[in-house]
Amino acid sequence: MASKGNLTLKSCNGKEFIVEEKVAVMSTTIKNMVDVDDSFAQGVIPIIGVDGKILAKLIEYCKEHAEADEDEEVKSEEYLKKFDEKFVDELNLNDLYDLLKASNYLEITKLLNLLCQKVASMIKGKKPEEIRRIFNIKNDFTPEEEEEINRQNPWAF
Amino acid sequence: MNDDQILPVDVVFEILSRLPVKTLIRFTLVCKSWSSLIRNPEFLAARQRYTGLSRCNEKRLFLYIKGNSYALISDEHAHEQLTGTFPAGLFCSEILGRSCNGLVCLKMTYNKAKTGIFLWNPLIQKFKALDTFPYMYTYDDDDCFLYGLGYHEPCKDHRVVRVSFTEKSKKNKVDIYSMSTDSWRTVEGARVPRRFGKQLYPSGLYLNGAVHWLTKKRVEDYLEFLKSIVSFNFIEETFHDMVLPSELQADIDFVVDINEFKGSLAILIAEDFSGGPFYLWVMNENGVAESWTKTILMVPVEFSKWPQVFMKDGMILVKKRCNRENNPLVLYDLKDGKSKKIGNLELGHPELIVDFTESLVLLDKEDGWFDTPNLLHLFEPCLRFV
Repeated sequence: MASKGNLTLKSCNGKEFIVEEKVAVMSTTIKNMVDVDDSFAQGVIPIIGVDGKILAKLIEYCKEHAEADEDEEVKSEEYLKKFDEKFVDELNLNDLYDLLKASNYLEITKLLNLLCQKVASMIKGKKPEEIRRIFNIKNDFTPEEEEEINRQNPWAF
Repeated sequence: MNDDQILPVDVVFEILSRLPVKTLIRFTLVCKSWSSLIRNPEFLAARQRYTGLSRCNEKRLFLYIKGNSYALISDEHAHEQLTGTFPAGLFCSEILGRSCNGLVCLKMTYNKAKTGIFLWNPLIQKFKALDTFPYMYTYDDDDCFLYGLGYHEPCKDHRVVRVSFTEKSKKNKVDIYSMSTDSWRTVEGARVPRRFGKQLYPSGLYLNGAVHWLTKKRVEDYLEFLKSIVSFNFIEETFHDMVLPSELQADIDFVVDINEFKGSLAILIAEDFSGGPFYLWVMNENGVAESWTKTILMVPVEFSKWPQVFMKDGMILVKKRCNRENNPLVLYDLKDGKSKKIGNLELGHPELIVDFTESLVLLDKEDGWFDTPNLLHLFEPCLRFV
């Protein structure tokens, strides 16, 4: 059991993490759970669909940002900006993908924005076929439909 | 990646809303669900909000129209241009409403006889006729028409206001076109400022919920004209007469352009066309006559004074004086004095150059919208069946 002011988060593959409450409630989903039901604050909070590796990453991010919110002098805006840059740069595509889904589910808005921005700059200007490969999307247009779209805005392709 | 790793739609929405127009149009080809998401009015509205917060890093452009051809010139990559032509016989005679969310309101003329008013998104090349064709305007020279393009924020609706003044009946009529309903209605009892004079700058400027026209009006019992700004608020549907500082009222200098400067209404004035400084007048507080300030801007002599158009962030488009015949157009930055050459464009009519922000507006429209090549059919209905 976590001591007062701490919460225990459990990943889908059974890994437990004890984190400070202020770090955990960076997630609106967890904050709502703790606010509504006090028993969560004492017990273990299961984080469905998020494995230990991703959860550790999420906690790493939230820890830095929660501490920065508390003390601006120790962790300045500039420090956070550098941290954010390094954080997203080190992610491979699979982790990026999993983190996106997890931060969306856990409603960690700041992180979600950061990751969306990263993906946006990654895919900007890419060709439709490259996008399909990256996101594992099937092309469901007929060749005729494709031609029609190409015809409408030839300058974009 | 596994099949179960498809990203939730709201995450895709968040990612795509951060992308520029060109990439998004390209991505309509990825799959059907992306295509419908990008064309969704809700997505377009969300993007518009973000553009306001400069989240999408939209490129700022100039829309340049000459005869029946047009170009979009980017300020960052001056050489990068999107060019196109209107169908033969058709040309743009006036820009009636300058850029509002990537739309402009144009007066198009066909074979020098027929005219029609259109909304146009030059980026996605879609037109909307604001009248039922084949009806054509037959303007009486005494009649005065004033157009303004704007956005009704609460209804998320693009609107066009038209003020018509008939010399014979001495009556003003105010009509509003709504893009969402695709129809015109008359504003009953609209109080149009007396002696709504002739416009000094042809296109209305949309800013802070209202369209602004720089006009000059004749002062009672005097022969002289004074400059004034008339605005129309799209939410209240009322007109306001904005008082200008007396120095600015006098009709002795040349108005170069009226535009937004760092979110405020601004007027660029030149003493004459042969040289000398520019004066940039900025109304620092919206609607407060006392808040107008004047800044003197020196522009190097190698730039001719004409044409000049200025952009929101203080870039002006000028022509460089050379000894060659084709003097290049350059973008001159008022902040740092740097200039950038832009393509091989010939000097056009300065009134047909406006600044422009790219947008996806109209991408969701199918019915009643025309892409550029089909525009001619409106003017020559018989061609439709050829």
